[in-house]
Amino acid sequence: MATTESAFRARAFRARAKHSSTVWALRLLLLLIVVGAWLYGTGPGEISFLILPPLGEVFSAIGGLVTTQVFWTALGVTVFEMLVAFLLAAVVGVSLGFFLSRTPLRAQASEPLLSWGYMFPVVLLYPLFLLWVGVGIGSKIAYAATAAFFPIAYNTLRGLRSVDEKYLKVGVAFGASRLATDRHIKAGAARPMILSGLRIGVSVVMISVVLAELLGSNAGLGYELQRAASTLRLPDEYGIALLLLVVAVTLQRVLELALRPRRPGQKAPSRATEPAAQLDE
Amino acid sequence: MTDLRVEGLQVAYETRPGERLVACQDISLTVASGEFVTIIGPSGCGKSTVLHCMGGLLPPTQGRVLFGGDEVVQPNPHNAAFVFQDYSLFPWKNILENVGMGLTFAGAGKTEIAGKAAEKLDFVGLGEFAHALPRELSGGMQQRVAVARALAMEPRVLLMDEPFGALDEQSRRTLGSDMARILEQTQRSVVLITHSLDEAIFWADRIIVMSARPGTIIEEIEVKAPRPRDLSMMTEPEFQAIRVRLFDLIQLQQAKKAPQPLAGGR
Amino acid sequence: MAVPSVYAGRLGASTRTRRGTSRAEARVWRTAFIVGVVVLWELLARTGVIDERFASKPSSIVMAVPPLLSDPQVLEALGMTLYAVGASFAIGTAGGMLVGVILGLQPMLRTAYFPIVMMLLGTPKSLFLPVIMLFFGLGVESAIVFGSILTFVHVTVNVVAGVDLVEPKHLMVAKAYRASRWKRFRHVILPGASPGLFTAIWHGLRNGFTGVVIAQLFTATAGIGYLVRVYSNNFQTDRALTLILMVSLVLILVGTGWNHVEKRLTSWRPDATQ
Repeated sequence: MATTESAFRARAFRARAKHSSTVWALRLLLLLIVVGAWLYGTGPGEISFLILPPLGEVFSAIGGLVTTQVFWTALGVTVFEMLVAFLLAAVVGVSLGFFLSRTPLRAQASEPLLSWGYMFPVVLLYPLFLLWVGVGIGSKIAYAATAAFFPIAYNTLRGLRSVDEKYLKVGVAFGASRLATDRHIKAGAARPMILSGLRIGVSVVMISVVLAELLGSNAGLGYELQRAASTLRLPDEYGIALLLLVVAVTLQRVLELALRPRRPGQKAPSRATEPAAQLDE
Repeated sequence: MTDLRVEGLQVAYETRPGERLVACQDISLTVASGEFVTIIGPSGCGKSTVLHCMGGLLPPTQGRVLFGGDEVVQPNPHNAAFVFQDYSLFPWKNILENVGMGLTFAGAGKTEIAGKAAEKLDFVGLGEFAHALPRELSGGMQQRVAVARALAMEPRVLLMDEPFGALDEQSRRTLGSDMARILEQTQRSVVLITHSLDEAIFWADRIIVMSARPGTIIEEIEVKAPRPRDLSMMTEPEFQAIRVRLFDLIQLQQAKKAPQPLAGGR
Repeated sequence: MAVPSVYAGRLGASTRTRRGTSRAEARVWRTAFIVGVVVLWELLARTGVIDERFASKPSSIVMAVPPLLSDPQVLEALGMTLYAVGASFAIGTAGGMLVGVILGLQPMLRTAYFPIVMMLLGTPKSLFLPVIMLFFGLGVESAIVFGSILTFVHVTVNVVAGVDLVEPKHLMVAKAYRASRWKRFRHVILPGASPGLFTAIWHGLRNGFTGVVIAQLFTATAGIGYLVRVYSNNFQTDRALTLILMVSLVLILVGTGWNHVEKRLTSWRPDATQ
């Protein structure tokens, strides 16, 4: 009950801005600055049209792109790669996390390995993935799944290791089997952390797939972007980049909503403070 | 002489747009120099709000707070220093630095800070922990550090917001008798918020009883027992009589509140 | 504190009572695992189960270290990469700290702009690479720009998260004792946010490195990323892997070291485990 008072006081100190009109005005300002800079650059700023095409041309390029079959096929390839890579990384990462958390020794021995894998710059391996798996979609999936595996497995293991003993006592007291303990106790208690690992995995997969397509591929939006760049079709290049941004943000939103803890009392660690910021290109 | 005077205080705030919650209203009270006043009331009655207004942490919606003769519009720890319920020591500073924190904020010189902090830390009996970190101390000890931090400002009034609220019964007792010694020696006015009947009586020259929200003052009780007091006071008939009276008042208030769901609240 | 853990088997938690021994035991198993992987790799490559041209083998990788380290092209690539990473780190961290603190302390700006930064964190920033190349060319400048962008985003996010760690009750003390703005920042906000700031610095460094290497993998004509690309294309997998493993080792060592420093410097935290 003192909560109302203390909440009030907390608000006084860390007032969350609620004036949405001002917020939108500020965002609009940023947009205007970007657009203004662009218009200035292509106009009086005299930036060469070989670097920055006029905004109008980019928009008409976008309009053209979305009516072509090529674009939608490329989009399909990219999204397919992302989903398969994510599923692979999630299944392997989460099950390995459970497996490793079964005994203290296993957990202790493996946790640093996973965290080192987390720190490892997987992107440097991509040229080798091309060598091993080929230039097709296989190398994108393999690379993105590898990159996303580590954060998922690491966070799963960390989550499972920090399950409060009091819950496990209940399991022991009621004679729960290992599988039942995994399913009904550990999975539930570690859920927020596992989901947080999966959300990181979503971002890592998206980042990795696009990067891989840019670095070497023969299909997908990243490939189209790279091709537009190398053939100096600038409006297309900017257009695809913007479309890709929209696709990535949309996909991220959708998957994140799907991976948000829904049960009351299991608040997700705030998106900002989750261990996350461990994302890499 | 009057140190602190509260006149017609009301505090209201918006919980959601358009929804107004009156925390307390029509609060008028005075704290005389050297007087020990306790404020008791059911939880959520706005007693902490009143204290925060007295210290200038919260602007009143109506009414005003006067210190000496001047209106309080912002905190001034040289006049009235706070001791918070959750100690609020800085975990990254050692104990001595924590005691000196108020002086640091006030812009005092390094030697002055060190000297005064060490003096006050000795005064609360924790001199040997000067270089420990807060997390190495028990809750009761941390609270004494918070008191030392306030005393280092040499304020005329101490404002204590449920200082024993976060402690277990045992620590409350020990801290209580320690604190009795400390506070009596300082000869300062104290305003102490509590929801414990025993505490309210044990400490007070005067008890102010507040009603449930919106909090108003429903009674003032003087406690004439001589000082210094010790725990044996609790067995005195006068103590028991006041306790019964307080119990009735608070109980009545609790009952008046709307019935609450069992698992509700916190 | 120490719960003699009968549940530990279910939990996988460290048993505090025999922590010393189990830690050493874990280290032995970890080492054994790594050695096992290396030996298996070597055996599979030698028996021809996996193609050495593609996968190389541990002995060839070790053998490739001395020639690689005496190759002037490699040394130049290392130096140039180090320079680019340093520059990215400096630019991105400075910008990220500034913006992070401002967003952390200004609710209005935070509400308006932080979601945009968070969105950038999770989206492929590499889609800006071709455009960056247009503006800054194929040289080291593009690598620095891309590295700085990655650093900036990661540092900003972590600094804001750090400022969020500052507890309202501590700000309350600062207010009650009437600390000036500067003193409040210096004595309350900065130390309170320090765990986030330390994390920010590590992520800044790591992403500066990643960004630079990505730019080099993309089109650069010098640097570690460029060499890895060339070696891989020429089937010099031993050289590619050697270079990758050496660089990664340094990165992981720095990261682990920084972790320890961070733990020591924030050991005041009540939840600090030591």
